[in-house]
Amino acid sequence: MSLTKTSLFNVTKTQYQYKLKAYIGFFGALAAVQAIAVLLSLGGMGGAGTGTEMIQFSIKLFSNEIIVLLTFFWAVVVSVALTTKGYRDGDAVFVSNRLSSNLANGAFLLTCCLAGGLTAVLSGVVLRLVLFFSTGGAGIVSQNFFMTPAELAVGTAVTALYLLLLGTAGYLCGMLVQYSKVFVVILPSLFFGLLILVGRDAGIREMLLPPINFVVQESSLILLALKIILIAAVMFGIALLLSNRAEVRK
Amino acid sequence: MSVAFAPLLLWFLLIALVCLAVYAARRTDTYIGRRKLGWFLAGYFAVLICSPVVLWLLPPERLPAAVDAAALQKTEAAARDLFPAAMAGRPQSVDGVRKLGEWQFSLVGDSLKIAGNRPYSGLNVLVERKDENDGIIEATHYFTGAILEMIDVSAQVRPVEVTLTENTLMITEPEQYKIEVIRFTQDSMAAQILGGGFAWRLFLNDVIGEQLLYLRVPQGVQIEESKYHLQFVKKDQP
Repeated sequence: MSLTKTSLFNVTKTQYQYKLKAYIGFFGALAAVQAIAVLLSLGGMGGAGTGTEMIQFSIKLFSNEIIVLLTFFWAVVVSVALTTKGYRDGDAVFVSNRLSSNLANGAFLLTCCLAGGLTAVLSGVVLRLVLFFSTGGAGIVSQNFFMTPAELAVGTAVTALYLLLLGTAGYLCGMLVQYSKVFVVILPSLFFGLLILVGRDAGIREMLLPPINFVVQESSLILLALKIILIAAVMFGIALLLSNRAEVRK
Repeated sequence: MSVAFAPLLLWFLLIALVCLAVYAARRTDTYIGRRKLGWFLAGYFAVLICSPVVLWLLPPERLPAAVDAAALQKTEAAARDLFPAAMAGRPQSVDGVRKLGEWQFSLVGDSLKIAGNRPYSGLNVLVERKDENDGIIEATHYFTGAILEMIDVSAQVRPVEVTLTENTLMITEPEQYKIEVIRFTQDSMAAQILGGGFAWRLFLNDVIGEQLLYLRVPQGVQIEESKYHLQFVKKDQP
C-alpha cells in the first residue's frame, strides 16, 4: 500500500509522459508511412489527355490524398494497438487505475492526431518541393501550388479532427475486441459487409449518407470541431465503460 | 487476376504496410535505439516544419505564368477565325496568329506533287494561286497558339518541315508529341472549410490551337497529286 496520495490528474500525466517516451516508435512508423506515401504520390493521382494527330495535351494531377489516407490508417492502427494486452500491460508499472490509463491513452491519441494532422499536411508541401526541384518548375500550374498559411492551418486542423474521429473509433473497436473476442469477427464483417452493400444497394447508401454528411459537409471549422469532439467523446466514453467492464469480467 | 482488383490489392498492401510499421514500432527503439529514433524524428519534423518556408521562398517566376481570361478568349477566337480567314486569302489578318515556319522554293517546270511523311494527317493545307507566274513556291506554317490549364504552351509546339526536291514538295510533320502540365489539387481537408475543392473538370481552360500550312503557288503550276486534301483559296470570299 502506498502512503503517497496522488491525484487522478497527476497519475494520468505521469502515464501520458511515459507513453510519449515508450511509444515513440509510433511516430517513427508515422514518418515511415508518410515517406512511403510521398513516394507513392510522386507518381501522381491521375491525369487526363486530349489532342490531335500532332499534339497531345496532358494534365498530371498531384495531391496529398494518399498521404492523408495512409495517416488515417496509421491513426486507426495505433489506436487499436493501444488497447491490446501488450500495451495495456505497460501501465502496470504505475500506480494507476483503468480510468487514468484510458485518459492517458486519450491524451496520447490526441497528441498522435495533432502530430499526424500537421505532418500529413506538411508532407503535401514536401511533395510540392520535390516536384518543383525535380522538374525545375517547368509545366507546374501555379494554382494550388503555393499553399497559403490559411490553407496549411485549416488543413492541419481538419486533418487532426478527422484523425481524432478515426482514432477514437479505432480505440472503441479495440476496446470492443478486448471486451469480447466475438467482435474480432463481427467488426470486420460489419465493415466489409457495409462496404459491399453500399456499393450495391442505393437504399443503404441513402441511409448511411446523412450521418456521414453530418460531418463531411460541415463548412464551419468551429462546428466541425464541436461535432467531431462530441462524437469522439461519446465513443471514448463507451470505450471507458467497456474497459471497466472488461476488467470486472477478468 | 482482373485489373479491377489491382487497386484494391494495392490498398490492402498499403494497409498491411501501415499495420506492419505500427507493429514494428514496438521494437523500433530496441533495434535502433530510442535516442537515435528521437534524433531521426527531430530531423523529420524539422524538415517538415521548414518546408512551407522553402515553398514560400521559391521564386514564383520559375513557374510558368498563367495567362488571363482575355488572352484565352483571344486565342480561342484566333483558332476559330484562322481557317475562314485563310480560305479568303488573309491568314495573317487574324489577331494572334503566328508563323511557325516560312519557306520559299524555286520551282522548275509547271507541275507539282505534294507528299507527306504520315499515312494520315489532320493538317490543313491551303493553296493560293498567285496572280503571277514567278516560279516561286511560298509555304507558311500558321499557328494560333496553344493554352493548357491557362499556361501558354505555344513555344512547345513544333513546326512542320517543308522541302522541295525536283517537283515534289515534301511536308514532314513531327511525330505526335506530348505537352504536359502538372497541376496540384486543393488540399481536400482545407477545402471542406475554405471552399473550392477539386472538381474533376479538366480541359476547360485549354485551347489546342489551329494549325495550317498555307501554300502560294505560281499561277500556271498544276498540282498533279497530293497526299493532303488540298483546299484552294477563294480570294473573292468576304
